[in-house]
Order: sequence, then C-alpha cells, then structure tokens
Amino acid sequence: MRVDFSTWNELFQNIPERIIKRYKYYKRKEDWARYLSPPQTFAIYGMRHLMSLKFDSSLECLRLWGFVFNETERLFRAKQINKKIIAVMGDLGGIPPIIYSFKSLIGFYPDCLWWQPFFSENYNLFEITAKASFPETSCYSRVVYATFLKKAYFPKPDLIIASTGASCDDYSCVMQKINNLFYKNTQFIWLEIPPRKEKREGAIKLLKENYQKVAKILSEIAEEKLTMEKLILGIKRVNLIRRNYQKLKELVGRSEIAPLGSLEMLLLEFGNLHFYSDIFEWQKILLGILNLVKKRIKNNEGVLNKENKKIVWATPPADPLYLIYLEDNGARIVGSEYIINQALQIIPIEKYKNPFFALAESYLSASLIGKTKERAELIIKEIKKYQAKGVIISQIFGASHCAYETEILKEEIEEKARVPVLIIDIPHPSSEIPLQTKTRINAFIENL
Amino acid sequence: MEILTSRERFNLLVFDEVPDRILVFPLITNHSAYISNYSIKDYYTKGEILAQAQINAYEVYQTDFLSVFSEVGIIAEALGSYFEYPEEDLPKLKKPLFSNLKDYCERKLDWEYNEGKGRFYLYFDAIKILYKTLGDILPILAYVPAPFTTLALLFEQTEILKEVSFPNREKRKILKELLSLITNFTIQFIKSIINYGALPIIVDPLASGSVISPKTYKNFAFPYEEKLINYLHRYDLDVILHICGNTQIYLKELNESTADLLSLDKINLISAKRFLGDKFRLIGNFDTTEILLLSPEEIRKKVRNLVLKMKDNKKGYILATGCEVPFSTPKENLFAFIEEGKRWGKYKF
Ligand code: SF4
Repeated sequence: MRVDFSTWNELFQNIPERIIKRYKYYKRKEDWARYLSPPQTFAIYGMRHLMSLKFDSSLECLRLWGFVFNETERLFRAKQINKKIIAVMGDLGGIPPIIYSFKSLIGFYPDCLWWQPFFSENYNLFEITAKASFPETSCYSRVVYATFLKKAYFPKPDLIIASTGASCDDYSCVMQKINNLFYKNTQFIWLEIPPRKEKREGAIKLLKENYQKVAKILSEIAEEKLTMEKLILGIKRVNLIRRNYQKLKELVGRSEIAPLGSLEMLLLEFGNLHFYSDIFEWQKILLGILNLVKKRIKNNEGVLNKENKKIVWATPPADPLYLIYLEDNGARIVGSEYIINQALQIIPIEKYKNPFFALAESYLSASLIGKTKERAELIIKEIKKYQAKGVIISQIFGASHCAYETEILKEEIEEKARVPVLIIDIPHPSSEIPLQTKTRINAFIENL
Repeated sequence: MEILTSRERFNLLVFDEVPDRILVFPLITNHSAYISNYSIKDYYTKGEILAQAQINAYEVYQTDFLSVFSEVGIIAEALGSYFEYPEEDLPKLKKPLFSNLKDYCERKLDWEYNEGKGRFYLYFDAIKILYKTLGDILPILAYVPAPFTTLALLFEQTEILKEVSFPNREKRKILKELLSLITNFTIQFIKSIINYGALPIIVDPLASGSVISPKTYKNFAFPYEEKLINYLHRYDLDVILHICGNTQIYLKELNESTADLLSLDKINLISAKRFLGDKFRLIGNFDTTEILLLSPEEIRKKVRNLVLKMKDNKKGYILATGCEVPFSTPKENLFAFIEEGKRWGKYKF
C-alpha cells in the first residue's frame, strides 16, 4: 500500500519498541546508531517535502527511508568513531568498491546532496552558491559547493576525489570551486575519466591506473594494506548488491501490478552508488525489499492500479514530487536511466586476474562518457524490456551537460522505439508542481 | 548573513558536533504579541495571530527557535477545566474540572482525544503556518505541559497539592491512575504536534522545586515526564525538558531523566554543569526579572559571563532565559541579550 505522511504516523504507533531498536548502522549497539524513524522525525528536522509525498507502508520500506534520511547523522557518527571519510565526486560508481574494501573507510557522494533544497523546500543553499558567483543557469548540483562551505551535511572529509575529462561540465565547475576551498587542508585528488570513444584498451588502462593510484592513497589514509583478496572480496560484496538490485528492477518492471513505488525504486537505484555510507546494512535493507517484492508478486499485490501506464523515466528528477504525481495520475515507472549506468553493472572480476581491470571495464558503461545516441540506446533497451508506452525526460532548469542532449534523446527514441517522449523542466524547490507541468503530464499519460 | 541556518546549527548540536556558535533562545512567547501590537487574547485564541507574532519576533530578533505556547493549561482545558479569557492577560483557570479526588472518583469522564478539543487548534494552526513559512530554517518548539502540571490544573490547586504531598495508599493509587490517563491523552496531543512538524518541548512548571518536594517530584512528576520522553524517543527525537522555578533541590532526580536537553530556570547553572553537563545539553538560564529590568549594558555583562562559563559544556549549551521573556520586556534588552550571546558564543568552526 502507498500511504501519505499522516497515515505513516498512525502506522508507526503499532511498531513495537524492540523493532524500532533492532535496526542500527555500522553494526553498533549504541542508541545513537538507530535509524528506523518515520517521515515525521525527518520532517521535524526540516525535510518539509516529506509531508507532500507518499510512501510504501511496509516495515521494509520504512527501514529504507529511515536509513536514507539518517545519512547525514551517520557520516558525523562515522567520524566520531574514527572512521575515515572519503568524498567522491563525479565518478559515480567506480571508486566505492575500492573504498569499501577497507575496514575503516566510509565513502559518500556529496553529489547526492542536490536533493537537499528539494526535500527541505529551501533556497538557502542556492543563495550561498549565488554569493559565490555560480550562475542561475547551471545544474542544481551546484548546491554541493554550499554544503562543503557549511560543514553541516557531512564531516570534513579525509580525502576528496574529483573527476575531470569525460565528466559533467556543470559539475566540473562545482568541483573546481570546492577544490579552491579545500586547497590547503584536505587532500584533494583529480582523476581523469576517458571518453568511451577512445580506444577501449587505452581507456581501460587509464582507468586502471587511476584506481590503483586511489587505492594507494586510500591505503595510506586507512593505514591498512589493500591486498588483492580484500579488493576481490569488496568487489564481490558490491556485485551482490548490484545483482540484487538488478533482480529487483526486473521483478518490479515486469510484474503486472507495480509491487513497489517509483520513489522507493529511485532510492534503491541510487543506493548502488555508495550504499548510503554503510554497505553491510544496505545489503540487508535491499535484500529485505527484494523479498517483500517477491512476496507481493506471489500474492498478486501491488501499490498502484493495474491500469497504470508503463513509462521509462530518464535523468533523475531533482524533485521527488514528480514521481508521486505521475503515479497518482495513472502511470508507473518500469524503467529508468538516471545517469548512473556505471553503478548498476556487475564488475567482471572473473574475467580479469587484476581486479582493477575489472573495475575499469565496468566503468566504461557509464551513462555520460559516450555519445548521446548511446544513452538513447540504454533508454530504448529499457522501453523494449519492460514494454513501456512512453518516456519522460526531466531536465534541470538551467543545467547544461545532460540537459543539452535531451532533444537528441527525444528524436532518437521517437524514431527508433516509436513511443512518445515528454520533456519536462524541474523548476526550483517548491511544495507544488506548476499547474502547466501537471497539465502536460496528464495529457501525456492520457494519450499513451 | 551567518553561514548556518538555525536548523543546521541545531542539527549539528544533536549530532554531538560543535556548530559555528551556541544557539540563542530567549523564550519569546507572548512578548511576540507585545512587539506586534496584538492583544494577548488574540495571541492565545487565534493560531494565525500566534504564528504571525512569532514570525515578527523572528524578523526583529533573529533567534534560533520559534515557540508555540500560550499557557500551561492547554491540556487541562481540553480535558474539561474551565478557563476564562481576559482581554489583556493569559487565560485564567476559572473552574477546575474536579474539586477534589472524591469528585474525580464519582464522575465518569470523557478522555477520548481528538484534535478539536479545547484550544488545540491554536497550536495546530500556528504550527502549520510557521512550518510553511520558516520551518525550513528554524526549529519550531511546541510547549507541552507534562502530566503533573496538567493534573494540578484539573483540581483546586491547594487541594491537589495537599493530596500529592501526603497521600495514603488508596489516594496514591487513584493519583497514579489519573496521571496515567493524563499521560495517554498528552501522548495523543504530542503525536498530533509531531505530525504538523514541530518538536514538542515538555514543560513541567508546577513540578518546580518552588512548588513540590523532591519526593513528590519523584513519585508523581518524574515517572510521567519519562513516559512522554520515552514516547518521543520512539521517534528518535531529541527531547527538551523545561522546568521553571527552583530545581536546585532535586538535581539528583533530574540527573536520572532520560531527556536529552535540560532547560533550567532558578538554579546555579554553572555549578549544575559539573553535575549534569556530561549527560545533558543544557539550556538556560538568564533571569527573567533581570531581562525585564536591567539596563542593556548590565545584561551584556551578565550574558557574556554566563556564555563564557557555559559554552564548553560537554554535551553542548543553548543560551536561553530561565523562563518566558516577560511580556513588556524592552526590545533593547533582548537585542543586548541576543547580540552578546551570539558574539561570545562563537566556536572555532
Ligand atoms: S544532472 Fe546533468 S548537469 Fe547536473 S550534475 Fe548531473 S549530469 Fe551534470
């Protein structure tokens, strides 16, 4: 069942204390490591958007929401218990398997904080970036700069990794500005990402060297030697998560009635990036939801109407409200291309003796390092696989990198997959979707 | 413009991190009506007026919290005590629900909770507006009277204070049963507050050491405060317990509280820090008579002294007044309090 904010408050009353206290992160016993809280808790601490969203009513998904929203506190706690914090920017997928092969390291993506203004319905982070001369016409991911400045969203990282080369132009500016901020006190390294069109061997070699360089630095920070066995074990753990996510996505996409809502699916997909800073707990949360979905399919249970029309969503909507609106108005998301294809691939460790090569190869499937037509192919594959009737591409108002390819994607998809494509702009944070956009979404769904 | 919003600052505090400066929180309640030229009666009967007054006060003073509070009778009134509403004063208990314990035992009561009871709408309307207007940058605190305080307002006060001070076994049982009923009702109120986006702060003024003994506090106030705290902890919220008046005499009992933040009034906070500071984030405790009557210069001196001695409290410190800022406190005095608090409360960040 999908329920609104207030209903979750009622449901929460029935959860026994022992269950609330059962779920803890970093395998800790202390009370501060709890995370099973209802949306109300996070709303009280400022996440105002939660009041407008709808949620899956299962305990498994409450666990998911609690875990995701607890991440800021979790990162501070990690530092307090002497873990080393590694901020990874721009690469979206290749580095975390290495980070999580070390016992004392925690990796996270500051990039994901672009959701913050939307969940809090607040402009403060944008005001700060404006003061730092970021133009309005750049991606919302610019707020990440403000989060570094504020030091209130994550502890001071022990290492910051940024990417250059075949990386997003908008985010590249953000990373450069952050680099200037931390120049003196924090170790900051840049990695070059090769474009896919480069000779495959050359690209793999460059990436492999990058990863080895990162592993060496991480080893120094963690004061722990990274053996090949440890790295392989780390990669296997990541592969298990990716495999389970793939299974989940297939089950959800192919089932007759949607067994899970698209917002939960989006959170789960993004979990492949850095496991919300606790890979072991994330593994369990994902598995719990996979089992829930299997059970629902077996019992022919779903969270949306059977008649809801199948669509594929491309580019993550910065504002989660759009996904809820879509589902409330007769559609369901069966496929997605949220620009993190590299984080969804199984890392082929069986194929290579040296696991760094395997990491490099898997990274070459990244969404944004190739031609736009290749990204269109990814979307078309999803359409065919799940028999979607249309595609929605969300654009970030003012963004350049992914936004400029939207028209090309639309042409390609309409021509090759013969399904209609709707392009919508996601405006600045607000508690409501603009009326005009609502009308366009409604008309689009009606015509599918 | 400061680098952190009050919300971010408060979040860091509850994560056990050191923010850019201490939070500054003079307990501005009906004083906000005073500076807005609203009548007090409008303030405690109209949620939109209460909210607007708080917004005005924020614009004038730039404090770190918003307060939703009229007076501590809000639950007693919802349960059936009768309050009158003077034009220029706070609601006054006119006729308590019961005259004495015997009366309570003889009457059947409606303890069913719903959001439409009494003046609950005042809180909910105000919270909704404040949350929508400023909830992204400021925590909203909604003051919830603890069961003992509500109990005292359901009876003729002298009667009930006598009963709780010298109860026989049978009366003790009745009192406990009654306090449990009040607690359940209060929990429902808290549940609603949480749903509208405010953080409940538990206030227990009639459990003050100026009114009851440590023994009475331990028997009839503390266990029910704890039940509310436990309920809030289910949500993993950081709980603020505010007790006005003198609490010096039951410091030991207070130390057993499971609240996370203690807001204290008439107590030597600097020495209490030694006893309570490892366990609690402390809030307090500038004298409210002094904030009304001293000159801005004298206030500055005293704030500076308090802040410099308290800001290193192990679990953190929030500069506040010991109780509500008096209605007609001069603005200059509050400016002096807040400016000085912010200036001396800075941390290396
Ligand atoms: S959403 Fe697009 S423009 Fe923004 S950071 Fe990602 S790729 Fe770049």
